[in-house]
Amino acid sequence: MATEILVPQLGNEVTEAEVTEWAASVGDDVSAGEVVVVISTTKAALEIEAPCDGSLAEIRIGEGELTEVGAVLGVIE
Amino acid sequence: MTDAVLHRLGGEGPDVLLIHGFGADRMSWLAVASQMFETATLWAVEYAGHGGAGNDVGDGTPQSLAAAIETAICGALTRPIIVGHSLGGTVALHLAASATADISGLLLLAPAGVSGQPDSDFIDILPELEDGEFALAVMQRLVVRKTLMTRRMADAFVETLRGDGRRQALRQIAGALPLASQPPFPPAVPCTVLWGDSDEIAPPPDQPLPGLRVIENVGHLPHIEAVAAVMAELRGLQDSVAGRP
Repeated sequence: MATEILVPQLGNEVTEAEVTEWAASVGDDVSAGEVVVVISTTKAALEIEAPCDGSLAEIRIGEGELTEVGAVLGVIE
Repeated sequence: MTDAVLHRLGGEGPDVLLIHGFGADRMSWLAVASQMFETATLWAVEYAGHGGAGNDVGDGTPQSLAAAIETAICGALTRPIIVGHSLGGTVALHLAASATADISGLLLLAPAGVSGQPDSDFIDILPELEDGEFALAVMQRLVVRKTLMTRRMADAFVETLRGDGRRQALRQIAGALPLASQPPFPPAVPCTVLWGDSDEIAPPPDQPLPGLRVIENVGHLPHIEAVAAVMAELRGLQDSVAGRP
Protein backbone atom coordinates (compact mmCIF):
# COMPACT_ATOMS: atom_id res chain seq x y z
CA MET A 1 0.00 0.00 0.00
CA ALA A 2 1.34 3.44 -0.90
CA THR A 3 1.30 6.32 1.61
CA GLU A 4 2.02 9.84 0.46
CA ILE A 5 4.30 12.26 2.28
CA LEU A 6 2.52 15.61 2.07
CA VAL A 7 3.45 19.24 2.62
CA PRO A 8 1.34 20.10 5.71
CA GLN A 9 -0.82 23.16 6.24
CA LEU A 10 1.50 26.03 7.11
CA GLY A 11 -0.98 28.71 8.14
CA ASN A 12 -2.96 31.30 6.26
CA GLU A 13 0.10 33.24 5.07
CA VAL A 14 2.35 30.49 3.73
CA THR A 15 1.52 28.70 0.51
CA GLU A 16 4.87 27.37 -0.70
CA ALA A 17 8.14 26.01 0.63
CA GLU A 18 11.45 24.72 -0.67
CA VAL A 19 12.63 21.15 -0.21
CA THR A 20 15.89 21.67 1.66
CA GLU A 21 17.05 18.13 2.22
CA TRP A 22 15.97 14.53 1.87
CA ALA A 23 17.19 12.53 4.86
CA ALA A 24 16.39 9.24 3.10
CA SER A 25 17.00 7.93 -0.40
CA VAL A 26 14.70 5.94 -2.64
CA GLY A 27 14.80 2.32 -1.48
CA ASP A 28 15.67 3.15 2.15
CA ASP A 29 13.59 1.62 4.93
CA VAL A 30 11.97 4.32 7.08
CA SER A 31 10.05 4.18 10.35
CA ALA A 32 6.96 6.13 11.36
CA GLY A 33 8.06 9.32 13.11
CA GLU A 34 11.51 9.35 11.51
CA VAL A 35 12.46 12.63 9.81
CA VAL A 36 12.59 11.93 6.08
CA VAL A 37 12.55 15.37 4.50
CA VAL A 38 13.15 18.99 5.52
CA ILE A 39 11.28 21.86 3.90
CA SER A 40 11.84 25.55 4.52
CA THR A 41 10.56 29.01 3.79
CA THR A 42 12.67 32.15 3.94
CA LYS A 43 11.90 32.29 7.67
CA ALA A 44 11.99 28.77 9.12
CA ALA A 45 12.51 25.09 8.46
CA LEU A 46 10.17 22.20 9.12
CA GLU A 47 11.24 18.58 9.54
CA ILE A 48 8.63 16.20 8.10
CA GLU A 49 8.35 12.72 9.55
CA ALA A 50 7.46 9.49 7.81
CA PRO A 51 3.72 8.87 8.33
CA CYS A 52 4.24 5.07 8.49
CA ASP A 53 6.83 2.28 8.40
CA GLY A 54 7.93 1.17 4.96
CA SER A 55 10.33 1.82 2.14
CA LEU A 56 10.75 5.19 0.45
CA ALA A 57 9.51 4.27 -3.00
CA GLU A 58 9.48 7.63 -4.72
CA ILE A 59 10.77 11.18 -4.34
CA ARG A 60 8.56 13.53 -6.32
CA ILE A 61 10.02 16.89 -5.27
CA GLY A 62 13.79 17.06 -5.22
CA GLU A 63 16.13 19.15 -3.10
CA GLY A 64 16.13 22.81 -4.06
CA GLU A 65 12.70 22.64 -5.71
CA LEU A 66 9.78 24.79 -4.63
CA THR A 67 6.53 23.08 -3.71
CA GLU A 68 3.07 24.01 -2.46
CA VAL A 69 1.01 23.21 0.63
CA GLY A 70 -0.72 19.87 0.10
CA ALA A 71 1.71 18.65 -2.57
CA VAL A 72 3.07 15.11 -2.52
CA LEU A 73 6.76 15.15 -1.64
CA GLY A 74 7.30 11.41 -1.85
CA VAL A 75 5.70 8.01 -1.44
CA ILE A 76 6.27 5.23 1.11
CA GLU A 77 5.32 1.63 0.31
CA MET B 1 5.09 54.25 23.19
CA THR B 2 6.84 51.49 21.27
CA ASP B 3 4.40 49.51 19.16
CA ALA B 4 3.49 45.87 18.64
CA VAL B 5 1.35 44.25 15.97
CA LEU B 6 -0.97 41.33 16.65
CA HIS B 7 -1.60 38.72 13.94
CA ARG B 8 -4.20 35.94 13.97
CA LEU B 9 -2.49 32.94 12.40
CA GLY B 10 -5.46 30.54 12.37
CA GLY B 11 -6.92 27.57 14.25
CA GLU B 12 -9.84 27.13 16.62
CA GLY B 13 -9.86 26.80 20.41
CA PRO B 14 -8.59 28.69 23.46
CA ASP B 15 -6.23 31.55 22.68
CA VAL B 16 -2.48 30.90 22.43
CA LEU B 17 -0.14 33.85 21.87
CA LEU B 18 3.33 33.38 20.36
CA ILE B 19 6.09 35.91 21.12
CA HIS B 20 9.18 35.55 18.92
CA GLY B 21 12.82 36.02 19.83
CA PHE B 22 15.36 38.72 18.96
CA GLY B 23 15.68 39.15 15.19
CA ALA B 24 12.77 36.80 14.39
CA ASP B 25 9.12 37.43 13.52
CA ARG B 26 5.74 35.68 13.39
CA MET B 27 6.85 33.43 10.53
CA SER B 28 9.50 31.80 12.71
CA TRP B 29 6.76 29.66 14.33
CA LEU B 30 6.11 27.72 11.13
CA ALA B 31 7.06 24.26 12.40
CA VAL B 32 4.90 24.28 15.53
CA ALA B 33 2.08 26.51 14.27
CA SER B 34 0.86 23.89 11.83
CA GLN B 35 0.20 21.53 14.76
CA MET B 36 -1.07 24.18 17.19
CA PHE B 37 -3.91 25.05 14.83
CA GLU B 38 -5.57 21.76 15.85
CA THR B 39 -6.25 22.85 19.44
CA ALA B 40 -5.89 26.62 19.64
CA THR B 41 -6.79 29.93 18.16
CA LEU B 42 -3.27 30.94 17.37
CA TRP B 43 -1.99 34.50 17.54
CA ALA B 44 1.50 35.88 17.04
CA VAL B 45 2.66 39.30 18.06
CA GLU B 46 5.54 41.19 16.50
CA TYR B 47 7.16 43.80 18.71
CA ALA B 48 9.01 46.91 17.55
CA GLY B 49 12.06 46.38 15.37
CA HIS B 50 10.67 43.11 14.00
CA GLY B 51 8.41 41.89 11.20
CA GLY B 52 5.58 44.26 10.38
CA ALA B 53 5.98 46.40 13.49
CA GLY B 54 7.57 49.83 13.41
CA ASN B 55 11.02 50.71 14.63
CA ASP B 56 10.22 52.85 17.66
CA VAL B 57 11.54 50.53 20.36
CA GLY B 58 11.58 53.18 23.09
CA ASP B 59 14.25 52.27 25.60
CA GLY B 60 14.35 48.76 24.10
CA THR B 61 13.92 46.94 27.40
CA PRO B 62 11.85 43.76 27.70
CA GLN B 63 9.56 45.65 30.08
CA SER B 64 8.78 48.25 27.38
CA LEU B 65 8.21 45.56 24.75
CA ALA B 66 5.89 43.74 27.16
CA ALA B 67 3.90 46.92 27.83
CA ALA B 68 3.39 47.44 24.10
CA ILE B 69 2.25 43.83 23.67
CA GLU B 70 -0.19 44.18 26.54
CA THR B 71 -1.74 47.15 24.76
CA ALA B 72 -1.87 45.22 21.46
CA ILE B 73 -3.66 42.19 22.91
CA CYS B 74 -6.01 44.05 25.27
CA GLY B 75 -9.59 43.16 24.38
CA ALA B 76 -8.56 40.80 21.58
CA LEU B 77 -7.47 37.71 23.52
CA THR B 78 -9.10 35.87 26.43
CA ARG B 79 -6.77 34.47 29.12
CA PRO B 80 -4.18 33.26 26.61
CA ILE B 81 -1.44 30.75 27.13
CA ILE B 82 1.73 32.51 26.05
CA VAL B 83 4.56 30.74 24.27
CA GLY B 84 7.69 32.89 24.27
CA HIS B 85 11.05 32.15 22.72
CA SER B 86 14.35 33.63 23.96
CA LEU B 87 13.81 37.39 24.32
CA GLY B 88 10.13 36.65 23.74
CA GLY B 89 10.21 34.37 26.79
CA THR B 90 11.62 37.14 28.94
CA VAL B 91 9.04 39.54 27.55
CA ALA B 92 6.33 36.96 28.36
CA LEU B 93 7.49 36.83 31.99
CA HIS B 94 7.25 40.61 32.27
CA LEU B 95 3.83 40.50 30.66
CA ALA B 96 2.65 37.82 33.10
CA ALA B 97 3.92 39.93 36.00
CA SER B 98 1.75 42.85 34.95
CA ALA B 99 -1.09 43.51 37.34
CA THR B 100 -3.53 44.00 34.48
CA ALA B 101 -2.56 41.18 32.10
CA ASP B 102 -4.68 38.02 32.51
CA ILE B 103 -2.50 35.07 31.43
CA SER B 104 -3.54 31.45 31.96
CA GLY B 105 -0.18 29.76 31.36
CA LEU B 106 3.39 30.21 30.14
CA LEU B 107 5.54 27.99 27.94
CA LEU B 108 9.02 29.47 27.76
CA LEU B 109 11.57 28.27 25.21
CA ALA B 110 15.17 29.11 26.16
CA PRO B 111 14.10 32.41 27.79
CA ALA B 112 16.94 34.93 27.50
CA GLY B 113 18.06 36.50 30.75
CA VAL B 114 16.75 33.73 32.99
CA SER B 115 20.05 31.85 32.93
CA GLY B 116 22.51 34.74 32.73
CA GLN B 117 23.02 36.94 29.72
CA PRO B 118 22.74 35.49 26.21
CA ASP B 119 25.88 35.37 24.07
CA SER B 120 26.79 39.01 23.45
CA ASP B 121 28.77 38.26 20.27
CA PHE B 122 25.64 36.82 18.67
CA ILE B 123 23.32 39.57 19.92
CA ASP B 124 25.67 42.37 18.88
CA ILE B 125 26.49 41.02 15.42
CA LEU B 126 22.94 40.25 14.34
CA PRO B 127 21.93 43.88 13.56
CA GLU B 128 25.18 44.41 11.62
CA LEU B 129 24.93 41.50 9.16
CA GLU B 130 25.36 42.51 5.54
CA ASP B 131 26.68 39.42 3.77
CA GLY B 132 24.49 36.36 3.23
CA GLU B 133 27.26 33.81 3.57
CA PHE B 134 28.49 35.26 6.86
CA ALA B 135 24.90 35.67 8.06
CA LEU B 136 24.32 31.98 7.42
CA ALA B 137 27.32 31.04 9.56
CA VAL B 138 26.03 33.26 12.38
CA MET B 139 22.48 31.89 12.14
CA GLN B 140 23.69 28.29 12.09
CA ARG B 141 24.90 28.81 15.66
CA LEU B 142 21.22 28.71 16.62
CA VAL B 143 20.80 25.03 15.76
CA VAL B 144 22.49 21.67 16.18
CA ARG B 145 21.35 20.39 12.78
CA LYS B 146 22.94 23.04 10.57
CA THR B 147 20.90 22.20 7.47
CA LEU B 148 17.88 23.73 9.23
CA MET B 149 19.35 27.12 8.38
CA THR B 150 19.65 27.91 4.69
CA ARG B 151 21.32 30.54 2.57
CA ARG B 152 17.85 31.60 1.41
CA MET B 153 16.91 32.36 5.02
CA ALA B 154 20.16 34.22 5.63
CA ASP B 155 19.68 36.38 2.52
CA ALA B 156 16.10 37.14 3.54
CA PHE B 157 17.22 38.15 7.02
CA VAL B 158 19.88 40.51 5.68
CA GLU B 159 17.23 42.02 3.42
CA THR B 160 14.98 42.80 6.39
CA LEU B 161 17.84 44.74 7.97
CA ARG B 162 17.99 47.06 4.97
CA GLY B 163 14.71 48.74 5.95
CA ASP B 164 14.98 52.28 7.31
CA GLY B 165 15.78 52.26 11.01
CA ARG B 166 15.68 48.50 11.46
CA ARG B 167 19.33 48.04 12.35
CA GLN B 168 19.20 50.86 14.88
CA ALA B 169 16.04 49.43 16.46
CA LEU B 170 17.75 46.07 16.94
CA ARG B 171 20.88 47.72 18.30
CA GLN B 172 18.74 49.52 20.88
CA ILE B 173 17.12 46.27 22.00
CA ALA B 174 20.49 44.48 22.06
CA GLY B 175 21.98 47.26 24.15
CA ALA B 176 19.15 47.12 26.66
CA LEU B 177 19.38 43.37 27.24
CA PRO B 178 22.34 43.40 29.65
CA LEU B 179 20.60 46.09 31.70
CA ALA B 180 17.27 44.29 31.87
CA SER B 181 16.05 43.18 35.28
CA GLN B 182 15.59 39.49 35.95
CA PRO B 183 11.88 38.89 35.41
CA PRO B 184 10.03 37.07 38.20
CA PHE B 185 8.26 33.76 37.67
CA PRO B 186 4.63 34.52 38.55
CA PRO B 187 3.61 32.00 41.24
CA ALA B 188 -0.05 31.93 40.25
CA VAL B 189 0.53 31.13 36.56
CA PRO B 190 1.40 27.56 35.45
CA CYS B 191 4.77 27.72 33.75
CA THR B 192 6.90 25.25 31.80
CA VAL B 193 10.41 25.95 30.52
CA LEU B 194 12.00 24.02 27.66
CA TRP B 195 15.69 24.35 26.92
CA GLY B 196 18.07 22.65 24.49
CA ASP B 197 21.14 21.12 26.12
CA SER B 198 23.29 22.31 23.20
CA ASP B 199 22.10 25.93 23.24
CA GLU B 200 25.14 28.06 22.32
CA ILE B 201 23.31 31.37 22.53
CA ALA B 202 21.69 31.13 25.97
CA PRO B 203 22.86 27.93 27.67
CA PRO B 204 20.43 26.23 30.06
CA PRO B 205 20.70 27.08 33.76
CA ASP B 206 22.96 25.13 36.09
CA GLN B 207 20.49 25.63 38.93
CA PRO B 208 17.10 23.91 39.12
CA LEU B 209 14.30 26.04 37.72
CA PRO B 210 10.59 25.43 38.33
CA GLY B 211 9.07 23.59 35.38
CA LEU B 212 12.39 23.19 33.55
CA ARG B 213 12.88 20.37 31.04
CA VAL B 214 16.16 20.14 29.16
CA ILE B 215 16.04 18.43 25.74
CA GLU B 216 19.04 16.54 24.39
CA ASN B 217 20.74 17.44 21.13
CA VAL B 218 18.79 20.66 20.62
CA GLY B 219 20.13 24.19 20.23
CA HIS B 220 18.52 27.60 20.78
CA LEU B 221 15.42 26.89 18.67
CA PRO B 222 13.35 24.13 20.34
CA HIS B 223 10.35 25.17 18.25
CA ILE B 224 12.34 24.17 15.14
CA GLU B 225 14.45 21.27 16.40
CA ALA B 226 12.14 19.72 19.00
CA VAL B 227 8.62 20.20 17.71
CA ALA B 228 7.25 17.08 19.42
CA ALA B 229 8.58 18.20 22.81
CA VAL B 230 7.14 21.69 22.41
CA MET B 231 3.77 20.32 21.38
CA ALA B 232 3.70 17.84 24.29
CA GLU B 233 4.38 20.62 26.79
CA LEU B 234 1.81 22.92 25.20
CA ARG B 235 -0.87 20.22 25.29
CA GLY B 236 -0.01 19.46 28.91
CA LEU B 237 -0.37 23.14 29.74
CA GLN B 238 -3.66 23.36 27.84
CA ASP B 239 -4.98 20.34 29.78
CA SER B 240 -3.87 21.86 33.06
CA VAL B 241 -5.51 25.19 32.29
CA ALA B 242 -8.71 23.46 31.20
CA GLY B 243 -8.75 21.28 34.33
CA ARG B 244 -8.36 18.06 32.34
CA PRO B 245 -6.48 15.20 34.06
